[in-house]
Amino acid sequence: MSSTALATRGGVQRAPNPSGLADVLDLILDKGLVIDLYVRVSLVGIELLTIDARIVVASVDTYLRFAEAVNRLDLTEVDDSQNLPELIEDLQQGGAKKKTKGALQGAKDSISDVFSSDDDDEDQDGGEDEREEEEERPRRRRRTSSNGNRSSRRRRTRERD
Amino acid sequence: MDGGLYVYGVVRAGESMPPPRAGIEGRPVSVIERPPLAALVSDAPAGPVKASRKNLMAHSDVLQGVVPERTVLPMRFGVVMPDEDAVSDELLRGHEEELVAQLDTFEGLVELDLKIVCPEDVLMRAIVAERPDIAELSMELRGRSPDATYYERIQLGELVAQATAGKRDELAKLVVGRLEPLSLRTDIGDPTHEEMLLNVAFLVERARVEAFDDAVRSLEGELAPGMQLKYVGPLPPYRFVEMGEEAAWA
Repeated sequence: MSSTALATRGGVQRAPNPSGLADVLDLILDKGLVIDLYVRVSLVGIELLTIDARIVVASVDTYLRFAEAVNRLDLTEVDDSQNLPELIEDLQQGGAKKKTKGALQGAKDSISDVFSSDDDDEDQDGGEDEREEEEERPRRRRRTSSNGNRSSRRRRTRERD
Repeated sequence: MDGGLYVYGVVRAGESMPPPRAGIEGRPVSVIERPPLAALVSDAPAGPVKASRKNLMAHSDVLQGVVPERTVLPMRFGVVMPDEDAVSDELLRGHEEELVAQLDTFEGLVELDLKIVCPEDVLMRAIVAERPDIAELSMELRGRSPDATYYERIQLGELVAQATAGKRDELAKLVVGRLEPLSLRTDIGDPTHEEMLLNVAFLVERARVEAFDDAVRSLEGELAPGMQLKYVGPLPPYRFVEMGEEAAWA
């Protein structure tokens, strides 16, 4: 099932189905309709991936790592052709949309809704699935350090006129 | 059965259904109808539903099996209701008006998701190429002891982080600017990992999906080398479903 189409230049294919665990998590773990009273999910082995995925880390650790990454570059080979198109306006500054909680909710709610209903994840057996998931995690997961700032969730929906 | 019913999504009643795929824990999926609505369900295991790879993929697969032919409102992973009456009365009847309104809203529309991923070294090169101040500071720090340059390295990293955020915004502007005219709504999400520069969803008319494909391909040619596009769909409108705020649970 190689439905993930990565870019060969100019020839990206649309994959009909989400294929990777990370993609599916991004879609169905905190998006879609939910009925508060009836969410019953155990997130054993999944938490770190999803929580970290939601955090754009701004911490000393991250800065030091970025600095290291830049200092590793051989600056004599820097190639100007890699510039991105010059664009000015900041698109992502839309404030996170706040909603009051109804019993039936939509996509814009926080993942904490799911976590709060995860009341007994301690007694799950660590089966084969967890090990598979371990391998699927992004290579570089970073926890926020104590002085880290959690970025606000930058998501917004815009309707075309 | 004592585990209750796991709910995948809501569709209109009475339309022909593609043969359902196996659901979570390999259980068969069936349809509970309460016209004008119907819910896709399967027996749930006792206890919490494990967010295992298999179950997560099964939830997605069940909905993907329906989406080519039907408008479906996707539930979030892990919704379990006690029994058929609860699904029928509390979900389908109790929220009939909103659910019907949502189905009307999304009739004939699908979600297409686009992500742009860029390996860290490629990104760093692009940033350094555009920001002489960053290149200069980096050169100054090389060969000096890490302890002596601690604060300067933090400063350098902070500049890089800002530049990365700038890249994300530029890309969002480029991509959304190009594709928005072909879509009805756009949803810019958070990157799900550090090498992701853009995570955006579009709500698109089924009839325009091919035109959208063409636009995505032409956009791809304009991305900096090393950037990869991931393009998935048609999906149910995961990132666009939203119920009214008056939907208080009775």
